[in-house]
Amino acid sequence: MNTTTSDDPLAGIHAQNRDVIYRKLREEKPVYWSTVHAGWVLTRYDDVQWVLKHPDAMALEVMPFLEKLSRRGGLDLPNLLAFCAALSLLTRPPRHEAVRKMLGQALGGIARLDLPGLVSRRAEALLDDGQRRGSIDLAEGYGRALALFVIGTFLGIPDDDLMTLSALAREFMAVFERTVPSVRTMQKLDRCAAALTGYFLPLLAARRRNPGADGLSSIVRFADEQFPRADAELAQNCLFFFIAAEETTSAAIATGAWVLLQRPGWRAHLAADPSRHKDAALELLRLASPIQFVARQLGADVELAGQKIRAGEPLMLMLGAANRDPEAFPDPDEPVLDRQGPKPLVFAAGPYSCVGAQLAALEVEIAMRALLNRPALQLSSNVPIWSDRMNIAPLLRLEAQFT
Amino acid sequence: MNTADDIRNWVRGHLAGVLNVAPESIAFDRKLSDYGLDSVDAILMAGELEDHFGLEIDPATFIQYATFESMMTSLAAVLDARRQSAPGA
Repeated sequence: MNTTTSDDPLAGIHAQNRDVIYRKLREEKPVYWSTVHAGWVLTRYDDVQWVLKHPDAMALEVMPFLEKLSRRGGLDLPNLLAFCAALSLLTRPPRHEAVRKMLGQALGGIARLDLPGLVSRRAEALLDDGQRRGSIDLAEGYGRALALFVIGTFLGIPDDDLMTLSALAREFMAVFERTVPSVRTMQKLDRCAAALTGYFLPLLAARRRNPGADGLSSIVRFADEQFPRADAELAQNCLFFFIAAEETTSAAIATGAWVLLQRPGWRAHLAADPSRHKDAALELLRLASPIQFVARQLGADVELAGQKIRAGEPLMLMLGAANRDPEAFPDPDEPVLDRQGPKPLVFAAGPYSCVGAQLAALEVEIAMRALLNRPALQLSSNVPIWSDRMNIAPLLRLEAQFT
Repeated sequence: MNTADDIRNWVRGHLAGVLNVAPESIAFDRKLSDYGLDSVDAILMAGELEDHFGLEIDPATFIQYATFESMMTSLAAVLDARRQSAPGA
């Protein structure tokens, strides 16, 4: 039902119109209250970074809202509530520190796997397949395939389960969209959460009986030794790691490919100079901004760009807008190798920054390098298809041909 | 009974129930917040309207109607369009 038009600039924002909307907001209303999303929207680099690094900034607390909705409407959403409660614990001290340590240790174990070699071989194999067929969908058949391969290898998830998990995870990503959810959406999310946590529970029990070298075993071991948790909470954490790693990395790889393949000159330059690949991958990440915003709240009242923001009010920090702020990144819509300015806010910043940032950046770099080895690969004339979501909105289809 | 009346009656009954007031006291030139109703109430009301009339309603849009009148007019238009296009209607 779209019979009203809203004057809220963020109503109806998606991957293809967002940069125009962000520009206007940065210039005219860098801090404004969005009625559609019921929160303050920040689009300038300096403001976004200031909040991210503010000592009183916390992940936005969504539990009171969900509990009110569930109680007042008599809705039965136990799995969604449990997931959000676990997520909420996960984002607050002291649990926050412990979970980061747990995941950091599990990620550290990746070093034993020679992940760069594995990812690189998988990328080449996917491109070889495409070359035999003459074409490849760089969204599903490359970005998503690689991201799934990495998280599947890391957690030690059987290959046969990955596609089912991925489909559920994609539906579940709606939980990170800060739109006012419909009752049906919440009920669907509750079913997704049940299926996803239900998948991880027996896997955790199996790793406890029979530990391996994978991340899941490492998580179980760490939890049992230093951080005793109910398996249900660990399963919810695993679910979070899975969706956080899969959707965002697949979005970054596919969007990065889209940026790269549209710029033949830049592509040729990089193909000839591997020493710049790391910088180039960071620029692709900046332009892709696979997470468009993160939500925070402050512990005290502040004034920002002339607006009075009260403690506890939701803040939507538009990383995607900050990452194209010309004040921080001159010529913001182009990848530039020798940027002197501040660091892009791809993985947020401060105490809640992405714990998998290095791994994700490495995946993007390896995926980009494999593409650079295939000069015959060109974007097809078919229009790419983007997700219509606002926050984590990957390309759904990006066709390319071997010419 | 026509679509507009169906919707008016439903909205009147629903609000009277939520606010615990007499149905005839509901004023349609008001909006949700005038009655102290918040986004949680809007989400729940949109959900019940969906179930009752078989519509799909985006609660974010729903919250933004200027008045109940404009919300009901819009819903009636959607329902009417569908009833006319449905075979055998």
